[in-house]
Amino acid sequence: MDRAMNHDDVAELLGAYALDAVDPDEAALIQAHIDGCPRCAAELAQLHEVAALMANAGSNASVELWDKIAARLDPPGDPPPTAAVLDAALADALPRRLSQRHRRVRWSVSAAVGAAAAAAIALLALQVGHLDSRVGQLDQQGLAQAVQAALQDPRAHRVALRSTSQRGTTVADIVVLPSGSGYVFDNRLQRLASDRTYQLWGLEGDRAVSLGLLGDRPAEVPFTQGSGTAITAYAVTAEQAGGAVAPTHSPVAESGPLRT
Amino acid sequence: MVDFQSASDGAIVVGIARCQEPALAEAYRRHGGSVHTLARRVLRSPTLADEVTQEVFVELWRAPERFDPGRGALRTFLMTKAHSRAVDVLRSESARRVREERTVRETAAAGYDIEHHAWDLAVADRVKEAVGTLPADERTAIEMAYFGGHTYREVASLLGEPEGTVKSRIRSGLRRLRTLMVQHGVETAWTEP
Repeated sequence: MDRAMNHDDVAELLGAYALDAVDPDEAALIQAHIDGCPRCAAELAQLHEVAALMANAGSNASVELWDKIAARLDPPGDPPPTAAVLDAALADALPRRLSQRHRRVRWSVSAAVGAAAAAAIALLALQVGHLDSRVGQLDQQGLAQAVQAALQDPRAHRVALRSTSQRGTTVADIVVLPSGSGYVFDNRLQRLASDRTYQLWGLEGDRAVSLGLLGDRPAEVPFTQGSGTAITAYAVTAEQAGGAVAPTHSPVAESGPLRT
Repeated sequence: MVDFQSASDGAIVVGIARCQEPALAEAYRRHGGSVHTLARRVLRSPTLADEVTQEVFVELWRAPERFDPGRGALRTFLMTKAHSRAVDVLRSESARRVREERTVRETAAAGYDIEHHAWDLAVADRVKEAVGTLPADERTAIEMAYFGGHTYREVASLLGEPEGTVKSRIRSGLRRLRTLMVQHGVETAWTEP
């Protein structure tokens, strides 16, 4: 079939299309129509809903299969996992480094990742960030007001994130309230390609905990680190879009060790 | 720490977008069983169903932005992905082996055991009730397409019916089902407790 489909042609095929029961050439024509036809898009959504209900199953998801899925959640893209993750030094040396002033957090990539590092990787992969889901709850105007309110709160902590390539240059600031709610603001990080994102990390002891994605361009971003956390420093890495479960690159910006 | 067990679908997907593995684990806990059962239903192979299930959840992890809460429940999104992927596998050359295993039971409509073949999943009672009230020709066309993985042209050929008749039956049957499910108060989305 090489002609465009009109609305009635498509409408008649929507049921079959919802069940993946059309040929590929028809599917392309149908989708092209649906992309510009809210009515057909709405009906397709309803038909998908019905189909999904027909397949309702009371069975439980298998734990073994989850283990296989979890094993595939390595950070996407390059560099490959064995070479990309933190080297063995991170797991045991990071807290010491952070306790020493003027020592930079260095997440170097080791070519020879040993068993100890592999263990550290596994641990870090599990230590995905724990935070509330406030993304999307604040529009930009509300966000700006929230940042201002936080800055005026005498109990808030303000932390500068400094570039790791240009010594001393502050590229963004963080303000954190006692509740654990925080904001990245005055963000002057360089814009990234659209398939990459900045990711904010909180360092808790020997763990790097994801505090959220900052996007590919400078923006004010809310995050939540929880009120009972013991974050010793912040860092920002550039990751593949979608983020990573553990840092795969050296930080582009970091805070000094936080006063406790 | 967010307790994802009491989180809405939207909050779970936001958690996934922020690389929080517990959020994905909760999505899997809620929907992994259904996703796997559907894939196994279509593919008749636990091994291939494992692979499809993994792909569905890994894709959710890598591209959570493809889920649009305005277009339906997370469950619908995952089941739609699972079915589409299972059908791709079924129709691919690499799955010829699977297809061959299935042919004995499915090459002829005459051998297509409606009662025992397609609706023996643990379908929720109310859904089952709604499905049971469908005219038999609509139900047959839908089950052959959805669980059998056949295109409507193949269904028409297997049943010896005109293609136009089959595509109309599929659409009218699904629309009827939707009306019946709404009447029966079937909830489609996971809602906050």
